[in-house]
Amino acid sequence: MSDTAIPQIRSGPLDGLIGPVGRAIWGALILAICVFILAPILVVLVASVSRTPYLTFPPSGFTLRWFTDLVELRDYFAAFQFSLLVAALATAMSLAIGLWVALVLTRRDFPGKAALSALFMSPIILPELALALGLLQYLSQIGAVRGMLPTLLAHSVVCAPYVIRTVQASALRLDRNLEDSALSLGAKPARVLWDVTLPLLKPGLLSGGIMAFVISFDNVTISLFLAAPGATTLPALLFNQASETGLNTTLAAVCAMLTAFMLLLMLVVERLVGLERMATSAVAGKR
Amino acid sequence: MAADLLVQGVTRRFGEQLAVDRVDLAVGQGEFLGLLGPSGCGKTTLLRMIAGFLVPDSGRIICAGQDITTLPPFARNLGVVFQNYALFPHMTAAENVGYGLKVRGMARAEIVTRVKAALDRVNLAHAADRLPGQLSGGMQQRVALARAMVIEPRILLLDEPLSALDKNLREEMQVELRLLQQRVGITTVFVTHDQEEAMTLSDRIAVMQAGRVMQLGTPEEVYRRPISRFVATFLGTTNLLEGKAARVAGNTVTVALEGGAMVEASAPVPPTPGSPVQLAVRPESILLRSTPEGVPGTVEDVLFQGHRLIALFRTDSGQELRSYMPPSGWRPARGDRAWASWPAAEAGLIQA
Ligand SMILES: Nc1ncnc2c1ncn2[C@@H]1O[C@H](COP(=O)(O)OP(=O)(O)OP(=O)(O)O)[C@@H](O)[C@H]1O
Ligand SMILES: [Mg+2]
Repeated sequence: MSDTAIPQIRSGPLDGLIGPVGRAIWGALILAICVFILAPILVVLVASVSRTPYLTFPPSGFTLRWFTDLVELRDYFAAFQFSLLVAALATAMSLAIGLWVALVLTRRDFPGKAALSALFMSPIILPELALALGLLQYLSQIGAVRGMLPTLLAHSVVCAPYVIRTVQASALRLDRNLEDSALSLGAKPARVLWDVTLPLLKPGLLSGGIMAFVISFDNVTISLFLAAPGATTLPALLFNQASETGLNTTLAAVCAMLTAFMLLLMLVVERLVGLERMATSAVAGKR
Repeated sequence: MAADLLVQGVTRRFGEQLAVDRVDLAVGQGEFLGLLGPSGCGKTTLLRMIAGFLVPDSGRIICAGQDITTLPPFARNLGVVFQNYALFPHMTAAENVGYGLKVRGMARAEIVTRVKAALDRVNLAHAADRLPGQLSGGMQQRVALARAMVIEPRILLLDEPLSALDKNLREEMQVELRLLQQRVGITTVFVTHDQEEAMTLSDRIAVMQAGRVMQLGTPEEVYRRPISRFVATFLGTTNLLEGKAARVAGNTVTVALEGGAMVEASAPVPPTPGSPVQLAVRPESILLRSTPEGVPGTVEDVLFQGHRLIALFRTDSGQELRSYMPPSGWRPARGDRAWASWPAAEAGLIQA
């Protein structure tokens, strides 16, 4: 892999235009961008071991106290569990909605299809704030204002478009003759969906599902608006704490643990998806 | 020959587009029927209606005495093979072949035996555990065929199954397909736009144009005695001669050609006497001779092609004819007087 990547960079489009000095500046720029992206995370990670109860950088002294004080962390842990539950359920709902909508959009022709398609994509572009406010208003009309169910619904609305997008991409590549073959071999439509359609849409479902999970897990705006006691996601809780009590080191410790969790999750996913991609490209590559 | 598959007045539109237009077909038990026609003439649409993927706007489809017009495809028990084979890419060859048996709820052991037999029959026992992506085009083709036939379908429907193969393999597969079909004795409908392939394989050919069946007959009939200009030209090079139906006696028609020569031809549906007609005669049926017998004219050019001569001939009434002649025997030369003739059975009568 890397053997092939290096000569590609060397023969890049900038090659004839910039000399060694230019190349050094170019390198520095890339480094600066990396630092700019990573620095905030690094600051929080490093600050989380500070002895002081308030957040300082550089940290003064070293302690793991903020990571081990279970009484302090209890609320955060409950919020973390709630976040996981919401993200998992929102992912499941997004997958179900996304699969259905994507199949209808790729396979049916009806008037107003383009408009409907745009509507389904709108949560990606529209401000989440507007969505959250609107939902709050709407939910208060029907009596259920805050808590688990509203949060779950709102998250699903935000996450489903990503699933629709990725499943649509897979569905466009899916050969309808495959499903017709299965039908003619005697499989009923539900069986065809299970045996043929779903396995072949797996790449789209998988990447859409991952996006949905991460987006739900990370969401602050909507979760903040719809949070209720005992039904607050971790990002919402962190935001509340930071604005109410200021930046304390426990927050940094929680953020550090959250970062570690997300990294771990990405590793697992990378393993799963990486293997998946290898398997599918092995089949596709020999065509 | 009992009709196994009946298509009666089947019509299908896509919006304004008339894809299949009042098609009638009767396919006999064990018969191999070729559906031949240019791209876009409605072959696939017709096949998809027989398979149940599309419902006709009007007309009926009857299989083994049962009206299946609106029966869903999974209840029809028909074997379908697509041009791109449509093998399930996530299943091995054996799993592909066994799928139809699995959804029927057959016992595992029984499936294994039948799949093995089916793969053996197409000489693919060694490839049972490979994924479709690891098989060559010809092998995929054979897996698709095995998959369609293992369920013991009532009818086999093939949509240009060989068109993705290169020429040599294609000719090999034509023979293999024909032998397999004969051995199993299964009623087969085969779609192709290749006239040679259709003639090689089919017991009868339905030639389609713009959604209509223009002629239905044995390969010999449609090739030697086309009843329309379209069929005559679609099936290969042909000569068209203008004339008039002078006398009609049963199916035998005496045609007065332009210039006065009288020739006989037979027509399934005789024309009314006096109406203008055309005769379609293949170049290989036209014999040029130096004795005054037939249509008089002048040889305009002679081209040598090794295995044959192509003689370009102009009748005295000004019609151009092309004749393929063996290089042995009398050789016309440019400017020679000659007379063109052909056996009556080699002329197709086309009514305007
Ligand atoms: N799903 C569809 N929607 C709209 N028009 C269609 C559809 N399927 C077929 N048609 C039209 O119907 C006509 C017949 O198409 P069909 O696919 O049956 O032709 P074909 O004879 O199989 O051609 P080919 O040899 O190219 O496969 C064509 O004009 C095609 O554009
Ligand atoms: Mg077709």
